[in-house]
Amino acid sequence: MKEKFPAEEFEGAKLREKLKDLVEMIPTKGDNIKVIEGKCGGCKLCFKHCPGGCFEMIDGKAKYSHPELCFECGACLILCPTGAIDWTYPEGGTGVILRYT
Amino acid sequence: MTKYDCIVVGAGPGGSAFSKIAVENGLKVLMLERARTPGEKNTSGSTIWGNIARTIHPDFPADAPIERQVDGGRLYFVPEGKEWEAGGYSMLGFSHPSKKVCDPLNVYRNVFDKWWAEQTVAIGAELKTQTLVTGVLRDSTGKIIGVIDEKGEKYESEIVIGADGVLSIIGRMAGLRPMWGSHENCLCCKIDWELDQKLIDERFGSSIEHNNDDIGVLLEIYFAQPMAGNAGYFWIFPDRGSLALGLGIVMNDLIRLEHNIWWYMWNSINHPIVQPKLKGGKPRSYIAHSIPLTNPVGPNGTLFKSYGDGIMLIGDAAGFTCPIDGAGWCGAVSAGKIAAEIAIRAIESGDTSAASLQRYERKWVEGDVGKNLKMGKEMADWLTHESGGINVLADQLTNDMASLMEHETSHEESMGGTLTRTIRHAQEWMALSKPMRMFLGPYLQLFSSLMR
Repeated sequence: MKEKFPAEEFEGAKLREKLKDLVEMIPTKGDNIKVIEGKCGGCKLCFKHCPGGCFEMIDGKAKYSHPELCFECGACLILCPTGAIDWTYPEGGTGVILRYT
Repeated sequence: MTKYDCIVVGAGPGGSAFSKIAVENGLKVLMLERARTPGEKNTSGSTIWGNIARTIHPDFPADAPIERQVDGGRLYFVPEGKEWEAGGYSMLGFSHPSKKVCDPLNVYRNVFDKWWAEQTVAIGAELKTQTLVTGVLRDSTGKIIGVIDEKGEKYESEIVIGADGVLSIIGRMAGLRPMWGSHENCLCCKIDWELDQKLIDERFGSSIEHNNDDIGVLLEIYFAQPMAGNAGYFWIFPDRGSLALGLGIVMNDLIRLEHNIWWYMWNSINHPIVQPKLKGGKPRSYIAHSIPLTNPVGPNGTLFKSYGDGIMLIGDAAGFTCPIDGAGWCGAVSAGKIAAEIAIRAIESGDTSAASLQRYERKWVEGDVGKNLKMGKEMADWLTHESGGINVLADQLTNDMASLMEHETSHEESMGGTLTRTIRHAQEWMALSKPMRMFLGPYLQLFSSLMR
């Protein structure tokens, strides 16, 4: 099957560029999700599958560096094979919303 | 500190349904919601069922904010080898036989969930928003006696209801369930696609008029390798001024397929079958979330218990989503009602221990919630695993339909012959397993009616 779109178009900075004007957000402190130092195995699953493109790979390790597009979906926590994601929801009344206007 | 009979964590469809029944029966209820308004963080196809809503609000829909009446749907199967062909699909139309059995309505969940909660507040439930609950309170025996929020504020009650969604902090804190794994979660993304209502009516209208001058709509569901890797499906659910475009794929399959959810979403909205239906519109907003696809009733189920000392779990928090389509609204509302009935009896009798609340689990397992979970699981297993059910179905239907098209202009007899063959194939599939009978039953009826 021929592929119409390259996978890289939907990862990291390129994904964030696609999403940024269409994701509505009450700003969060951004400290509710962390990659626990020393636990990341560098598999890139969070980087690749985070639907908000919130992760970056720096020196082979994941970093949660773009909380401004976090959907609070839990995919990073569920997918991480080494339990390296420290996760909770953002403060009440903040974070992503879906607005239909 | 005010002591409540019940504290409900999460003011979604299940939490508000529970509260409505509980308050009507004299219980003092507090709902805690982390969003600013109920529903504003929701990611769903956004179809609710009127007949289930009427079990909570008998006069529903009354003034409920409904977008569209759903009169039926179309299922698209795109077989291997024809992945990117505009005409390379088979399509099955279906309509819902009785509004009593199934009365689907499309809504904007941020508007609808707010309304749904307000109906409960109007009769006396308390609702506190912007409140993230982070833990449970226990007495010296370990019984749960309330919850604590992120600011350290405590709330006491006889019973705590965990209605806090797929990642349920309450369920995990209470030790009733673990964090579900990548094989038990679907990743869903959704685009709200703005489109003129005239175009929506032309492309998705059912031609059946309803009392508010609106025509009903047809839902569309696509099973196709390029759209969902044969591990999920893409959907279009029409509203008045927009389409809900959604996609869900099991997380384990996403890892295996080596593409992410937005890549598949882009494939879907740019697919030659889908693209013409979106023409003239544009995306308005994006969102994504996890959906549980666990098996709470099975032998390998990972919901340990749906109840404990002073606690019950309902909705996504307990994994009550349909194993085939991931829909969770009906399960959440039905379980909320059952939990409320159990809570009323428990508080009356003064016993809110696990021994008293265990009736909740028995009741939902034996009722529609449990039956749907069990049946759906068998069917989902057949479709996705055993001999690649979904491909068998797609290939066969495409052949039958192609043959039907060829004979369209010829005389009635050959058309009848093709239909007969299609029905025979359908019957063969149905013989394969009990779940397939459920799945194909409505289509068989449709084909039979075409022949008459």
